[in-house]
Amino acid sequence: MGVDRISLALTYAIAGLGIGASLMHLSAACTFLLVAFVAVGIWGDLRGRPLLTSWTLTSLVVVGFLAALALPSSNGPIGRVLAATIVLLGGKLMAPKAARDHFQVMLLSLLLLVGSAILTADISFALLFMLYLILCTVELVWIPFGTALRGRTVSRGFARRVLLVATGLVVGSIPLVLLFFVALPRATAPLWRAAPSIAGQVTGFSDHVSLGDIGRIAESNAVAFRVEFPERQGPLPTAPYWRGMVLEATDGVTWQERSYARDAPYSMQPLSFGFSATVVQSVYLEPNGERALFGLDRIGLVEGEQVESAVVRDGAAVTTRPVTQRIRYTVLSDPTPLAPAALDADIRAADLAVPAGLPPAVAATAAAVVGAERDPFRKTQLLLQHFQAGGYTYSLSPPGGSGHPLDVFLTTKIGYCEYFASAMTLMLRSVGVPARMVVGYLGGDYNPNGDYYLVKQRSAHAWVEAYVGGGWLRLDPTPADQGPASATAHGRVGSAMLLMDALRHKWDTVVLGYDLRKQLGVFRSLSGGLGRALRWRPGPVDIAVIAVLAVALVGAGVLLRRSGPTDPVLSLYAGLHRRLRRRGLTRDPAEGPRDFALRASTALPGSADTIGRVTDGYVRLRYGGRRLHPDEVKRLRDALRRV
Amino acid sequence: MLQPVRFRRVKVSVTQAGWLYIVVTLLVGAAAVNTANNLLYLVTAGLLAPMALSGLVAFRALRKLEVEVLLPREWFAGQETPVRVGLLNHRRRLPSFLMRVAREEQDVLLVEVPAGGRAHGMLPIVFTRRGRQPLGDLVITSPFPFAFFRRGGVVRLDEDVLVYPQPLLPARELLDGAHGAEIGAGAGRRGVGGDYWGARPYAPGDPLGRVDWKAWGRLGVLTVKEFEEESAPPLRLTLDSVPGPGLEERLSQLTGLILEAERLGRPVGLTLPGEAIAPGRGLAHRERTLRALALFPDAVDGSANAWA
Repeated sequence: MGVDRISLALTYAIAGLGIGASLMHLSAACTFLLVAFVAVGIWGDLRGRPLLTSWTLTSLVVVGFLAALALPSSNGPIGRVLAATIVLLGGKLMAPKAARDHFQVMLLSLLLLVGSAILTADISFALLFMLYLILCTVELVWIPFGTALRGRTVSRGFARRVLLVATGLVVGSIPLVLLFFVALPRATAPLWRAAPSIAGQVTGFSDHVSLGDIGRIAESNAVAFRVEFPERQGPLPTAPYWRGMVLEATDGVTWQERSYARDAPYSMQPLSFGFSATVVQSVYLEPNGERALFGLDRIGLVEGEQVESAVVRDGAAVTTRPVTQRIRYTVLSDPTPLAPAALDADIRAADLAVPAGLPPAVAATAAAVVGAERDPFRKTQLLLQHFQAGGYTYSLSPPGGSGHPLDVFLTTKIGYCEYFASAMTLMLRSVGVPARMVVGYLGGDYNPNGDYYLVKQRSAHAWVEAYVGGGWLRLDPTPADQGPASATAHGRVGSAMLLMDALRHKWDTVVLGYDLRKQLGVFRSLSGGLGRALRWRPGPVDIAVIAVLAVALVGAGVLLRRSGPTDPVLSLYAGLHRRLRRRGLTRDPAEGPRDFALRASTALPGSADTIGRVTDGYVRLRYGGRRLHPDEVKRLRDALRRV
Repeated sequence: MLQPVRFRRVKVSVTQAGWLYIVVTLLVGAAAVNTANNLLYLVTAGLLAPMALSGLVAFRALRKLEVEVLLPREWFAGQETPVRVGLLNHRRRLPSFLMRVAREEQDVLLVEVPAGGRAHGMLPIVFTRRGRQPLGDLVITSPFPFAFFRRGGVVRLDEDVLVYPQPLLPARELLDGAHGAEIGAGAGRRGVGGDYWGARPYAPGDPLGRVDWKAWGRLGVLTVKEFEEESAPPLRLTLDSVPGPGLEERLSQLTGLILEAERLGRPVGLTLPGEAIAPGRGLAHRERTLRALALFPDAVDGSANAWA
């Protein structure tokens, strides 16, 4: 096998890994160029002579490098560095390769891996990086051979032995990687955080609702957040409502948060936690550029290092800054549908306000449905029944129309949750029941592999809250069997996806979420174990057990030492003794090795030569400290069989 | 000779690639701390782990080795002599790779010393001075497993070797002049070994043409017929037989003359202060004369001052 070919194959594999990792961050043109670069490189290496002159190549790389840095990238500065690195890597692949070039390809490839890791932080990086480590270890082991044996060929067996050593290194590295990962010091506050790009991320959620804004709603399987329930196991009995934001101000088409007085302290209005139904959740929220922190409807308390600025109002949690990276927080919720709360007069007025210019059909339908009913609760139930059993159809693409969106909705009876929620809220208000819209998510996939809920963007939802009986009552006008709650995919593909997602979640929580706090926890538990061991006062039984173990260990050590001779000559000599003993020749304790050999040779003249040589080797080792040559040992071993 | 490889201390030198690797590791590590990005921590760990492990493997790959030097019969000062140098690997599993065995400026690369096996190479060795010399230090290093570090150390070889003076041929006429009396007469001992040359047992190095094949057929013993030939009178050498100027030059010239006479098949006698070797031929004789020259005391010694 050609030494240079092996080096080249390894280098291309490593370059391929780096390129593969960054491919999804590259534009189509860049990808095409890259493929061309690699093809030119492979062609040049196969014919043993580069296709381009070094001058052409250098100018090409310089131009490409500058262009990559100057051209805009959808991934910001990191994207530009990635593109520039790709150009350098392409240039390296096209040029003839010496040992240092192989090494540089490894470095550039690592740079690409790291760059794309910063951009995505996906679990796929772990796989790529593992492959990279394996290939690099092999290549690093091989580079010195490539230098020393340049232009020569080696046997397959030799290559296999080198590969075996490299494999041993890889396998041995894995526990060390884990150890280093756990033990490397973590900082309390990083100096700089790369802002992951949230452009192009599909969010089903928004802090405002605008009817008819269809493009925003997508059948996206992107993950919105994952929720663990530390204090309970198994799925929730019913599809959970994940509260995001409360929208109260509306002009009939768009909805947004009521404006809160900036300086006024929030009236926290804690939920009446009966503590009969408090549910603790750990939420892992994907970056979405929004300020809402989701939790099981309704939220009472939000905790977490990354959400210190968060406030809870109206059962929803909001941060001051948009969420641009994956965060983790703990939520305490009271999932009872009716939460007693006081209602200030001005808020009451806001929750009863019907915007001007609302289609008369809204109020008219409401009046028709409610009829002469006076009780607010009965009113809500009548309206709910109207939407759920009144021939309404849930559709993500409702028919457009020239009129007011709600007018179209009430006529065609086709719409999605925001239509249902808007219509019902305004209808409630028109019949004198304070009402507001809540946006969030409904349902999600319970993942039995990791005992958590996976909530996707497609589960985005909107529902209604009405103030009845001294508290807010959750009402969902969207037909239950048609809304996002029914959109969970199961079956074989689904379970495979769930398993994959469970892995990803473990990756996010265990690997990506490993921080100073967890590190301190690891150290503390380690030192705790050590402390317990130090404080341990052994009783008599323990001492007896330890003594027996110690004796057994020492004995085993002695036996092993006995059974494993330190020098082959000693075992040869012992073998000679065994064979001679079978012939009735035993060495007298006072008899010297040479005297014994003489006596044995006289008795067995046919083996005199072997006896003499083995004895000689033994004497030389024992008294001269000289060893026999391995070949001689081998010869003697063969000869000994014939004694 | 065989000698276990025991380094007094294992030296580690960092190669250029090694420095680059260290710098990259530090950079990625700094980036990891500054960004609190666990993926970068993972990369740092991934860079550190093989490095740490490579130290262990390299250390093990230098253990249980024996160095073997197959010494040539003759050494001449100033002449590069290729010496067969080998390493024996007494480990059960781990091979040693890319072992560089160096002595002074010269080195030899043993690509693989398989587990339980050995590997050899030719290492050119030069001694600049005659006399009994320690074989000296072998520097054994290996970049294995990664080319970032060279690890190894110095093995002091226990063996001494006898180095003959560097052979120098003086003017041709000295040898030609040996036909006459002046060189031989200088010794004043003509007749000690030159009278009778009969049959003597064959010694390695004797020309095959002189073997008495008939006698071999008859007796089964190899004998060499030695004729008393007037055309090849013994060459009797003393320190004054050669021009010099200094002692070392004289010793070198005598060495050259002895080798040349040997080549021509002429018996050589050597008389040095304190030692007289009767004219003779054959390997044993050659060794005796050369040894006398090699071990001749230095100029510091009073008895040799006259030729210094």
